[in-house]
Amino acid sequence: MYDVVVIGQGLSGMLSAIWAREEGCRTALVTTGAGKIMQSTGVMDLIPGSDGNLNEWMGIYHLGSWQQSRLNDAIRKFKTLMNRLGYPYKGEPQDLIPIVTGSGRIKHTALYPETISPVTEEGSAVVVGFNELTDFQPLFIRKNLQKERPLLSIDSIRIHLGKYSQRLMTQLDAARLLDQRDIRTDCIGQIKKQMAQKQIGRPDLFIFPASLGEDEWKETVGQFHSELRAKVTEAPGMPPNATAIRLNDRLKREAIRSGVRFYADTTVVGANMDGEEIKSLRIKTSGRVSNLSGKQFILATGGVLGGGFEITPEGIKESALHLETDSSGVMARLPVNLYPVGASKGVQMICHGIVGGVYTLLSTYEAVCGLRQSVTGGVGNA
Amino acid sequence: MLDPNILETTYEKCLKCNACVASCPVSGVTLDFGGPKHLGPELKRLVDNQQIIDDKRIEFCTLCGNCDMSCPENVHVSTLTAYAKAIHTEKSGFSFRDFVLSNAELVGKMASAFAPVTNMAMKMKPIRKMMEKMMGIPEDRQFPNYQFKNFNRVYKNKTSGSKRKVAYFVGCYATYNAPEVAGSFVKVMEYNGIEVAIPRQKCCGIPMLANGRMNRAQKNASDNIESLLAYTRRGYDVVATCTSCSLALKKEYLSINGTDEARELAAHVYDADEYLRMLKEEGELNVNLAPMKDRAGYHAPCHMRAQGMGNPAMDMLELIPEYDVQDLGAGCCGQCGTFGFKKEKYDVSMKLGRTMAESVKDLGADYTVTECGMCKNQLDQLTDKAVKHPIQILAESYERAKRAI
Amino acid sequence: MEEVLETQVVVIGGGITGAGILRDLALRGIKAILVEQGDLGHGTSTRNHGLLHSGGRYAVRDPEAAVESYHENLILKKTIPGSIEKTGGLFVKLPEDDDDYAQKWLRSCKKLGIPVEEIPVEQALREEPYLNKKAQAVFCVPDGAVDDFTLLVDVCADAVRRGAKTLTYHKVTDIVTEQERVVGVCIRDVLTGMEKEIRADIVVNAAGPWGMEIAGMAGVPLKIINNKGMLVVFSHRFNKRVINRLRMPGDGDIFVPAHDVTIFGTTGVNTENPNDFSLSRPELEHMLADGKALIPSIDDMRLIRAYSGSRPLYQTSAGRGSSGRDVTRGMALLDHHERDGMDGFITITGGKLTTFRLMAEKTVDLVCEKLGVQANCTTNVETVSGRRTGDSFNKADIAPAARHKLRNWAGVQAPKIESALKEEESSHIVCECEQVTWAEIEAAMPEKGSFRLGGIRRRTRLGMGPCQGTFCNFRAAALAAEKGRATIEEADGALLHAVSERKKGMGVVATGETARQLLLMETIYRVSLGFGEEAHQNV
Repeated sequence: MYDVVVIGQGLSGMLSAIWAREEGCRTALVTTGAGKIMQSTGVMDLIPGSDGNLNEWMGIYHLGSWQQSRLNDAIRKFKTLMNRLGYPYKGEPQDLIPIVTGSGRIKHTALYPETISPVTEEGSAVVVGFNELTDFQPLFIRKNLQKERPLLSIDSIRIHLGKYSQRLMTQLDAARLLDQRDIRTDCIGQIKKQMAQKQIGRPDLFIFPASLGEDEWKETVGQFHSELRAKVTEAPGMPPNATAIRLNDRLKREAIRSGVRFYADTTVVGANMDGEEIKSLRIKTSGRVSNLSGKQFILATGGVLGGGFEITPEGIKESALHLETDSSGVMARLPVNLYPVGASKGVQMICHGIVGGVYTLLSTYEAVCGLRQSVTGGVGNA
Repeated sequence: MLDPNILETTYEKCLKCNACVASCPVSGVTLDFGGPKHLGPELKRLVDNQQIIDDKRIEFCTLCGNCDMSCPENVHVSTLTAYAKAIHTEKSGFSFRDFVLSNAELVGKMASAFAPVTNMAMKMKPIRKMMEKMMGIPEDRQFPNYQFKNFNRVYKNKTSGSKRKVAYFVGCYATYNAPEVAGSFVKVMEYNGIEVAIPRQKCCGIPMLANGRMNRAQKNASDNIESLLAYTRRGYDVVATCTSCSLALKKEYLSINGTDEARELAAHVYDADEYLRMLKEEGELNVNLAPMKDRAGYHAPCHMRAQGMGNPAMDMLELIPEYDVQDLGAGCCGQCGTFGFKKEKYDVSMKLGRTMAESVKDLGADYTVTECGMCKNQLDQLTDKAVKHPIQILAESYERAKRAI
Repeated sequence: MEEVLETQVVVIGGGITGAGILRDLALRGIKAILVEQGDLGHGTSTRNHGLLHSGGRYAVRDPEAAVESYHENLILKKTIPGSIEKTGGLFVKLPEDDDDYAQKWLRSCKKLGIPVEEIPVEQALREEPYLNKKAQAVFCVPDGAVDDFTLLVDVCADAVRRGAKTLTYHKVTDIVTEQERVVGVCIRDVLTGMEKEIRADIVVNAAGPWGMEIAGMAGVPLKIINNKGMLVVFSHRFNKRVINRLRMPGDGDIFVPAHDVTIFGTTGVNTENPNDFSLSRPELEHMLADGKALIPSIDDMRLIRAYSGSRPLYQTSAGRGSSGRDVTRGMALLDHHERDGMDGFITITGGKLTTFRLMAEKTVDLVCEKLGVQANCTTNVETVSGRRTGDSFNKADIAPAARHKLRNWAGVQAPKIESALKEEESSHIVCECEQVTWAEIEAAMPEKGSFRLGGIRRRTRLGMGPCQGTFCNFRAAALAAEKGRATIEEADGALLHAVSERKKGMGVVATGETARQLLLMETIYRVSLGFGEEAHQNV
């Protein structure tokens, strides 16, 4: 018997579980697999795929002005947590910053890890790619970035990590290699040498793939920064991005260490109801179905992309609890002790597949507030 | 001849999202491994109803199951990699070493018969040098000790006629290397007034699967299913203290055997702590546990996590008054059953274990608790802390409580 | 006119019929230029099942077509082995299928000489476990699977090697006539906008569904019914052999294994517009419901995309109300001099993929007659270079799956690709689903002309797997820009076009995993990589 059972292991699920533990709740997390946080960029946008400001965001997500202070609390709570976990986040939703992506395009984001720096309109930048890394092509990025930043003077160079693999190397693989000091030092040497050869002056910013170390990101960013004597940034793009994996791994470890009980490789196949309340979940692990009881439940299964909703020939269905939904996936009658968070709130909240990190933080925070108040529904169901 | 066209169709759900690759402990430390996505769903799709493709890199797969746990689409990745291993073994044969390592049961029987000699020999440099040369078993790799008084020699059933009855799947490790674990389990059951029977059993088959000996694993599976069903049909619950054994009985048999009997058995299988936790929830557990002022770090074996049952060992240990236990949250240990005993995998194994070793050091607890004998072997090698099975702690707490009366 | 070319024969249409004609002309020493509005196989030739008919399907309804198919089947297996997999095929009789038809079918196959062998149902179920367990009888026939992309590419390449010329991405804008005689064509390079003229003795209209349009340019009346069929691709290959239903041919009764996937179809709806490649969900569901009879678990299997193409069906007498299937699917060779008094102009239409060689032979026979050339057809014996290259690529440091693919795929390009693979970066896998390396992609790029991912996809299978290019389209485009094989505008344009094109095919089958796959693609491109609204403009 748990106080809180969280369904889903994405950003919203793990945060819910961690925050529920902080509230002293006995907490379980049931999950089929990893959340879509693993395919994310680790930066948190307001409106995914769009540069809209805070007001537009509040309009799109139908938020009341009274939720703004809650948003600030949520972000503060998240930042405090990430500081403690050794992967601090910066930024404010009122003040979006331009960052460069793995395609060389600029997007504006609200919250971002310390490994990322904004791209200025002017000045100079050097894009550095690795021969081994197909997902990040520096010349391609430079040319696209040039379209967006005509006044910025941009160069690009390719260096090698010195490791070959028959498997396709990802940004995460590169990050793990850069965790090794000798590889980093060698890379810096190559960068300096090439810059000298090509007579590239010291730029204001170095743009790297989202690969600047995994566990040792701080040492990696620090070493590149101090030895190249310029700002460095990661440009996240094709998943897996180390920016996102660091966040995922740290949240997961924190959840485990804080005592959240993980029911891995386990799928929720329904709920046992007691009137308007969920009494327990029916969970399935390798063919065996059992019950998992709790007092409150957080639905963090995500949208269609995350698997929380399924598109069937007959329409959209809620996949975990088989709750009734309308054609757009809005759940008709929510059990009183169920709190949907993030993209689980319904597909009407989704832009280009996701709800965006900022909305996830807010809705997760509200759900946990709801638990604390332990009144039926809480604000999470408002 | 192995049928590569197994009716394992979950692979077609793969979105190529790379969650498995990013979560694969082996892919994280070596670029020589092809990764679970490629060697699982991707390769399966390329060979289905077509020519077989043999990829040697599958040898690096430890069947830890982190891919299964990470896959959001519920692809049974490790079932597919187990088949890729079987194909590879069939195409290229297996070495004497892999034959020995995958035969935990036979080796256990022989080694424990000559236990003092075996244990001494395994610590002698010249012998280990020779083993490395001739068999590819790394010289520096520590081995678990073998016990002459193996569990089969010492077990005597004391409780009988209880309402709940347990058929204990002892497993090779508790039988030959750690009879004290098996002994503790029987004691704990005694404290709860539950009869324990030891059914006829063979190695669960996990070491064979890991070495691509699919046919052999299937044979063991069907023998165990037959033997254990005879108990479950008489009202026994099957309980294991080894989390790899319980995973095999619950999960692997469904994919490598796949019969209705395998499903029937799986419904009655419990991990030891899971079983005790159920007793607790049903109000049947003897909660007369004496306080223990120890401070322990808990290491969760991959095969425990893969069972999707929360963390029953932690749940049970937290019942002991004043006992301070903290989950290390360190991921895979890197021993990975027989994997870490192989010379060409030794470096990878050591790299894999680093996070765990650091976590143990950082926590600075009195000792480490884990269910898995192979994790224990790695912990013994990489840390200077003692390693115990949770059932041993519980047994001790019960015993202290009894002495206190 | 910016450029004037001269040749003996202009072939309009870069489908398999046109390619076959081009090769036959080249083999007979006749100079020819093939003109195609898009890439090779822009139309029907790459929008079909890829079934190499044994003739079985037509045995009852159209014995003549059946015999033609069987003979061509044998010839193609011999002469173009690289593009054909001798899968064999099954005809499966279900309880609800007419017994009389089955009897008639057996008698007809015997009479026509199409080898049929009955196999025990249990054996068929063992070999094809997805087959309906209620099957009453199963017959083996020598069906096969054709890779229509490689077929077309290889046939054209063989023609070019023998002196022919191809102009892809060239649209015919006019047919030039002089006194009741066609003397050439006006064409426009669709990529540069350059206008050209080709003077020729004979113009062959092999434009398939666009044939009416072409004939119209010459002022010749022609009635072709474009009968659009929809097909779907399953995410993996679940059958070893072609699976047909033993009944009067209808919708949704053929499953063809095609490399790593199974293709299922089809439907038939008449359409006015040859450029109509639209897809309809109700049509799809209707077809799947039909297919369920043969493969009951069809609804549980993942579809990765759908596509459609039009069969050009020639009608001798215009105005006959037709659903498409009543009209003959046989070939129609029209000598417009004889028929309409327009000399130097020939239309070849109808027919099937399986009989393309025969169509080409008949067409070129007529061309020879008109040119007064004495040369016999040799395409029944002359082989096109194969694709399988034995134990090549041994030294390449690539995954076994990638090596396996190259050995079955590289063909004449093997030495070129093998030497490219010595370079580390060329051996990087770009498309994981289909195991395509950069070396292959580079080898598939045209010497000149613009960078297009569609052309690369058809030549390498890049992006044809379950993720439909979610990852590899980006990689390929970025690499092309990186390595100077494309300008940044070309690379971005090609990428956005490829993504939107893949999305179209996925959209109609987007339930379950494919819906998620589609959203994953959307999220990665729109959110993670930051591609903006331009993604929607460049369709």
